[in-house]
Amino acid sequence: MKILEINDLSKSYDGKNNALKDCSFSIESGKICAIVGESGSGKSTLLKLIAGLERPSAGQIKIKGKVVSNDDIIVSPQKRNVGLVFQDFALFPHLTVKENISFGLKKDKTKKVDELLKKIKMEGYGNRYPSELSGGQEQRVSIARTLALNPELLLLDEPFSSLDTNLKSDLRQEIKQIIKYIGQSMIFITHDIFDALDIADEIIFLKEGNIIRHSSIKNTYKDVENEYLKKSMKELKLNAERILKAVNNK
Amino acid sequence: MRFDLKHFKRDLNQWSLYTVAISLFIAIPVFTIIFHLFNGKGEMWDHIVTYFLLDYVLNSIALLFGTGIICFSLGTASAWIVTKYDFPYRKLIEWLLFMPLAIPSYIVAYSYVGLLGNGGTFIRFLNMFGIPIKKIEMMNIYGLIAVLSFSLFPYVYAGTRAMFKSYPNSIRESAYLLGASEIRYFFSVALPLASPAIIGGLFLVFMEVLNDYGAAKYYGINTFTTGIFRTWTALEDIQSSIYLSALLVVLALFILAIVKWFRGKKSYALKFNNEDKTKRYNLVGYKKIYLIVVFIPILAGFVFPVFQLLIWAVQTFEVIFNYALFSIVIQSVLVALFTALIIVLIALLLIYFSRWSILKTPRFFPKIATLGYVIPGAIIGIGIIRSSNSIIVFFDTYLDLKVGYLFYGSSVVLIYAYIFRFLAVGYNSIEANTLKLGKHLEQTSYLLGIDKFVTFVKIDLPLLRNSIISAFVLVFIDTLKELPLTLILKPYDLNTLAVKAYEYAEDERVAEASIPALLLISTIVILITLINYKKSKTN
Repeated sequence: MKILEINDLSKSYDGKNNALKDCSFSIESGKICAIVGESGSGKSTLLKLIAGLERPSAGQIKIKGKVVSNDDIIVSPQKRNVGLVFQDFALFPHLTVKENISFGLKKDKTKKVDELLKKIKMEGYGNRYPSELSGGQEQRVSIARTLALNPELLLLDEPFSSLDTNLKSDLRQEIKQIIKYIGQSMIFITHDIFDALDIADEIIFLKEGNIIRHSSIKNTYKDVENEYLKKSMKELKLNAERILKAVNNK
Repeated sequence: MRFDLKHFKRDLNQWSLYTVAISLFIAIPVFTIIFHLFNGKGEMWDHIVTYFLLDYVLNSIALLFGTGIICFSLGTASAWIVTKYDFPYRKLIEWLLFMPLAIPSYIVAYSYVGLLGNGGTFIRFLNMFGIPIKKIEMMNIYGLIAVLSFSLFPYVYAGTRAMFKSYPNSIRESAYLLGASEIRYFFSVALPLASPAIIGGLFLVFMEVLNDYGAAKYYGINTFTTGIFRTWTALEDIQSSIYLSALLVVLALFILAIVKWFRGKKSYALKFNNEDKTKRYNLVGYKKIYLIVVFIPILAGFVFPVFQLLIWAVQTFEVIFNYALFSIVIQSVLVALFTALIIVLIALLLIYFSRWSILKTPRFFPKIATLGYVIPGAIIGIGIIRSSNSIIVFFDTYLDLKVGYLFYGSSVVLIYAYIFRFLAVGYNSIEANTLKLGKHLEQTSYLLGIDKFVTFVKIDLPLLRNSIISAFVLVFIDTLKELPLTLILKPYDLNTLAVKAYEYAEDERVAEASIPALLLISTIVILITLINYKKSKTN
């Protein structure tokens, strides 16, 4: 079953230039999809349109078969059952971890919060404030808060960009485990192809507001003409050479 | 701003309509003035143009230039000394430099006549030392420039000091390591970086100068504002006063345009400190002479006027300090409290309704509603009287209802006028903080299924608490000090401390004005101190 269907979606902020141009794609339920692109490619706009935080200039979005936006209809973010984790985590600074996680819950708050704190391995942190947490912890709380409402679709905006390299790899695996364990459909955006290769089932490449490729991970590896892959491999090779050179000189 | 006709129906929501309706309602005085401009010139207009207009224009421009130059010098120099150097009681001096704001300029004007006029306190002091001087003439344009400057320079000082404090130390250290002298650093780095704050401060000074009525009237200087009053009351030609008002609005908008243009050109993307981590140098040796720069404005803008008022207060205490005065204090405080409360409420409504409006066009309307701060009180007064009269006539003619007493027998019209005049004060200080909060917190709340109103109550309101309190206090202070609007629109049985002080001074009983003035000043000093204390605790 398709969790998300997007048809001819466009968005222009000024009426002249399109941040997103005639995008169409769909995602199957339970899959993790990465949207990869450089700054200004339209990744964040696409995510906000899916969440209902922006209104499309043209095109249609369906979530679980139901139209949530087109030229005539706009379903509010509150009614889409979509979760979004922002790049800055957007934890409410005046509320504790527990209060943050239970913010959207209407019943069984304590039970659900304890369950989620266990799942993100932060059992002893319930009474702390966001300012007392590390970047990685803040991110896990933010994901837990979103998962508390069992959204149909989880959206993550550049989830690993503010983390250092050591933490990044561990957290990628951790998030993948959590998401796969609960069978959650997820879309995340990134400018780093390794984030995508590490945890996604499929990748959409965006450039200047256009979808230039949409393929499974397996096919992406085979895609020797993929410019992101080529560029990243080249960088990786250069870095490896530099390290080897430095080691040999010592 | 782009109008998307295709999606108009889809994107129109109730918040767009509320934003437009509230904004237009508040801005009625502006539309009234514009509307009446097309009614043709008044009877006395030619007479005013022949005999007075040039005087109004030249005096107003001279006042703007004079106060601008002095406020710039006093404000930037004192801000520089307190942020660059450390010396005993520095923090107290930093606070004292704000204090002239607590004294309305017309009261500073009265006190200087008491200090320097015939047989004045300072003159007698000089005579004691054998200096045979009879008086220092203050009641001319130079005296008015001096008085307005002493009273208004803190507008420049406040922003500039905050800017100087926020520079990373690395900027100063880099300049010194590159061989810049202290003077060169000040003129070629510090001052240009602080220019947006300086210009912002000067803009407020200019608006206060154009709004001033009490000081100019007392010193007998013809300005636009005194001219508007005279044309209306003495010449009884409201149509000509509307023409004068329109000219004054053009002058105010011209200044605003220059400020916007200059600010647009000067914006610096620097990572500033949020708190004061400025490295200060000890003020030693001959440099102690710099302290004169901070003492002159404190003495001239606060200590001398308060000293003179205290002398008068002692002389008039028994006559003035009575139950009637107590009743005036209560009335002043109640009116200011009520105004501040409503303004904060309207500011929040406008900020959030326009945020919740999907259409972008309605977001422009609060700008019209907040125009009051650049329109002098006298003009707002005339605009409101004109629109009230139209409403009264409408009710009388078409519905046979006499509603005049509702407008002029109560404080409704006065409070409405205050709202238009001071909405910008509350709106801007709250809006700046909502912008700092960003949109992610509220958007997250929406995505967690929480509606707009609950999000506002649970997320925005607690996080904006401090800025709401600051906005409330700032509006309260401005309302308490306000004179021209109150004079025009107050109902017969209402009196405020500001009006009472003015009435005594107008009756040539300036000494009696001291006690209402001191009560006004002490209330404001307490409030400014509370805000500063709260800010320092928050930091």
